[in-house]
Amino acid sequence: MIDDSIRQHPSDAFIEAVRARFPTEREVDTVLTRKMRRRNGPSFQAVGLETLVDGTERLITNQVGYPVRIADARWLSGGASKLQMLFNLQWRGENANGQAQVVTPMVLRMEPAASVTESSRRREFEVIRAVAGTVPVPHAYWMDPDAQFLPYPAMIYGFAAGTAKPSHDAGKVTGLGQNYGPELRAKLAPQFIEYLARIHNLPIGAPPVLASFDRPEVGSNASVIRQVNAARRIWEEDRIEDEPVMAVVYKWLIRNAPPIDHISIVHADYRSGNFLFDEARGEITAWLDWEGAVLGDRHQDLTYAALPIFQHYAEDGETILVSGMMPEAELYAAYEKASGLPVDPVRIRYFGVFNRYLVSVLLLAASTRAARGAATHQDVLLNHVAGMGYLALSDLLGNLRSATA
Amino acid sequence: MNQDFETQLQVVQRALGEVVLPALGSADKHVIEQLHLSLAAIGFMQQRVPLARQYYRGTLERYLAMAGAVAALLDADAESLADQSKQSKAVLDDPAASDADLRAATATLRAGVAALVEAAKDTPQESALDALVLEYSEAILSEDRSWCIPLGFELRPEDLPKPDWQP
Repeated sequence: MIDDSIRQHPSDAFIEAVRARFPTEREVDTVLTRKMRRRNGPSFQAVGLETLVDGTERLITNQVGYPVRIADARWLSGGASKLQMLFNLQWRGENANGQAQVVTPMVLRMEPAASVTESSRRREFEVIRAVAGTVPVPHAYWMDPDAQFLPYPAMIYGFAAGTAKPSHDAGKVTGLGQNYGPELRAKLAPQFIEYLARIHNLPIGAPPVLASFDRPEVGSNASVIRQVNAARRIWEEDRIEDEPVMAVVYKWLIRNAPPIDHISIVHADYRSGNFLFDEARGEITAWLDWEGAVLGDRHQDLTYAALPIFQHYAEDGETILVSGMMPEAELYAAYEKASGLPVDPVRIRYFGVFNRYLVSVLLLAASTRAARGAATHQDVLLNHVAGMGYLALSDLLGNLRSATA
Repeated sequence: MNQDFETQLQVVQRALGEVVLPALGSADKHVIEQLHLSLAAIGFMQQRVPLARQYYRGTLERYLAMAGAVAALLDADAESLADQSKQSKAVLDDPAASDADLRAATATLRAGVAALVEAAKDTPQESALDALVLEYSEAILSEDRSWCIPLGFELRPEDLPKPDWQP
């Protein structure tokens, strides 16, 4: 393909030109630039558990100031983007007291050489710490954001119990058309709404809280444009071939970016499949995958949860349930009631297009690029989900037409 | 020649699905998942390899139609695209053109149209050009979605129009 080699082996001039053309948040810029520079480095090599155990022990020892030991290390499946190792840490506990020995199950979450969602471990760590106590999340212990101890940037969090898929529907790629069934759905749906409302109402503290996030300004659309540019930049860096529809949509997104009316923490991947739950009790036990979180507009999360790829038909064969929970209109109404924040139809339309644009970028460009570059431990999975790209793009086209009709 | 692509894919699929997979009973979940996805990739190739040339030719034809409409709308502002269209049409008409040639010609037109869409920002022709691109893309995306049906993501594949390349 014509423009493939410059993307697979980018020159400094190409990298800098793209950075200048699509300005985005500081930390996002750092992560995307690192991704591009990595393409000229050694190719991705499978990482053994021994390497991860060694690096993790050194990281934790450095953080706690005394030697620790890792036992029972094993791979943790699930997710399309990060390497995960489950292990038991033998240490003195969080409030180290004398020589007491504590065993704590933990998870190492490390990037591969490339990913469907290139993201910052620093931001993921900060946002999990920020929402802890407001919604159930795994405890964020330590991070290695610059790969000082591990082969790639990583973080360590506490193991959270629960399952991402109901036992009757365990064969699905997590979250895609996830059907929880009527009984479980009735218990999970109110929690799904309540936690989203809590996240969006959480006050944003001053730095050092969320220090890696640029602060949006109420009344300005600059932060929305930075996000659109981040997606556009990924398209420029990762695409296999150009796509005229994407060019049309980008212009529309820039031109119609709405000003922020209330600054929220936005999870940015809030949907079925991204939370763990206790199947017997029907309780959400942990919200996962905070890596794409931003400070921004709540409508981004609302419309993301309602994307067609996370929908399925209810038992009547006609009603469409978003994120396996409830019809879209009911979701918005329940959210307004729970949060006290208004749901604005204009912003719903805008972020409906934005999220479809982003998903199209991730599927048609980032996933395909990572798989072609043999850059992950999950190439075959990324290649598979990339097959949804044209469905996503077709949906984007239809959605844009509806939004502009 | 008795070695064809279809047979190669079939034997690999049977070996992985009927011999290797059952032997992995207690393997890690991600190992079994990767094998299932590998089988899905092979299944996709089994269904699509015999149709690839017709699909690539059809896609190029549709982008030539889009490029022709764009060139007619923009006239002198689309000289470069008009030249690319001529070269791409020559590829389409050349019986010796390879699949890679067809794909490269299509990619050139896609890039050419996308560049003009970008350049048309804030010009009098912008809204007509954008509308034209969306109109032509609808049919193209329908064909692309049909191409990906074997991957299993279409909720109702039977609702998609039958593509030209489908026997």
